[in-house]
Amino acid sequence: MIQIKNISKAFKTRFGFHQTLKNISFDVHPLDRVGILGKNGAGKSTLINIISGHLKPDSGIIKSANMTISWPVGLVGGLHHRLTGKDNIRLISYLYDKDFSEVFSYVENFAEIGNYINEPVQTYSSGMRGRLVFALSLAIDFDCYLIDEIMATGDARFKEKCQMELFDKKIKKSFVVASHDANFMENFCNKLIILDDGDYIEVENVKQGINFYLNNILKTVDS
Amino acid sequence: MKNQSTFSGLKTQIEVMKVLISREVLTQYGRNGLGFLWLFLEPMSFFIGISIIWSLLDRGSHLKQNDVIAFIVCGYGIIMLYRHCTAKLMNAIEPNRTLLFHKMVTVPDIFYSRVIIECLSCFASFFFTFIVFYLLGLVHLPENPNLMLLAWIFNCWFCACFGIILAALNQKNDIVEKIWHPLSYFMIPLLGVFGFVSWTPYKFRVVLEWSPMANIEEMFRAGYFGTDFTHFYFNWKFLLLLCILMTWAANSLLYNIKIDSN
Repeated sequence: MIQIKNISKAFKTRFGFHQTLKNISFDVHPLDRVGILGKNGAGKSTLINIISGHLKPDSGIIKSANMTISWPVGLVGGLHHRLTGKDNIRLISYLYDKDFSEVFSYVENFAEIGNYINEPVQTYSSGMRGRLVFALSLAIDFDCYLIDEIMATGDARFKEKCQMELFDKKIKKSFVVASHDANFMENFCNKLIILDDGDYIEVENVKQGINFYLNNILKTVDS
Repeated sequence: MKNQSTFSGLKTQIEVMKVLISREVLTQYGRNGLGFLWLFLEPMSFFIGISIIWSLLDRGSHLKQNDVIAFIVCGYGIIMLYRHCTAKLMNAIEPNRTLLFHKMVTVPDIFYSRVIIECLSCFASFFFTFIVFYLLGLVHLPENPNLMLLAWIFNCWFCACFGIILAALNQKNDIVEKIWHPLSYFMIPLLGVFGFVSWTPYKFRVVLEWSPMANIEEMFRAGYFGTDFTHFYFNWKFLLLLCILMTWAANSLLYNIKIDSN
């Protein structure tokens, strides 16, 4: 189980401190699929970065009992943009002490980016980058995956593959997923954390949570 | 138990640095063309160019032709590491920022691996150039190689600390880089690269005696030319004390670098 306890984080801005997260607590049990919903800038990525240990919270702690946690699998971090896809795969397999050729053949097969695997990552489209980083994280094999907005970048075929992989094979894993894709969240998650302006609510009924998010939180942006 | 975890932490750090070093060599020098040979060729071309210019222009130093070349190769060999450490450590984090998402990669790993690359590549390029020049009969064997080696160790130690301190301060406030650019130009005379300290007037000599880079240059050249050649001004106790103090400063700054990326 991973315990997220009283996490707060503020960022220094030119107009003073911006309290992004206020006292957030929830647990991730084995097999849990936690969805994080929130407007742009609500703190989804910040929360995911804190759970991974990449970002230090101002207060609160993350406790993990016997569960390995992935890096924040998103479009921003994790890959070196001047290295080729292949060199990135090599680098990350060495970092996590995995066999390169095994990881490589899995990623090559799953990501389907063809010859681009030998080109620098900076030349990739966001869809290709999402495929590579997601496949790579699956190949490394963690207990809990932190996934930050990459489902939305893939095309229909990639989404189908992800769903197959996530629902069938990797079923013994936990996920914390930040996404705008309400449809995906509804199918995939068993718990939601809805972030709004520093505050949060934890919802066990995903359908209700998504409706609440669409009707109450997104509405305030429109009006 | 505690010892074991410290040991495995160190082991991880070494593994991570190995990965970072090969990563760094790959992105800086690529897989194309001459590839990582540029690691040596780039500084070597610098030595050769400067040696030619000096040999053609030197009229006042009363050095023999070959001593001019040795003077240059020794002088710039030392300065090269100083230039690389100050310039490349300042921008060490930015290209590696995305790798920090993997929690075993830390800011000190990134700095230490760059320091190791620079120290090794500068030494290798100096060493190869020296051998090539020796085979061509342009330089003689050093009078006191141990003194040269000691000077090189001080050089690595000082430049690494100095580079890390500058880079860490710059991370706190990026005005440091903007000030450093002009400042580094004004400081060129203090580096002791353009002449022996014994050539300089007394007033300036007093200043140079407190310049760490000039101390290192003098020690290095004393090793090559031998102490009979001229009087060399260097003080290893001063260098040792300074380097110890700077190690403390560099590490306390380094372990407090905060990278807030959201």
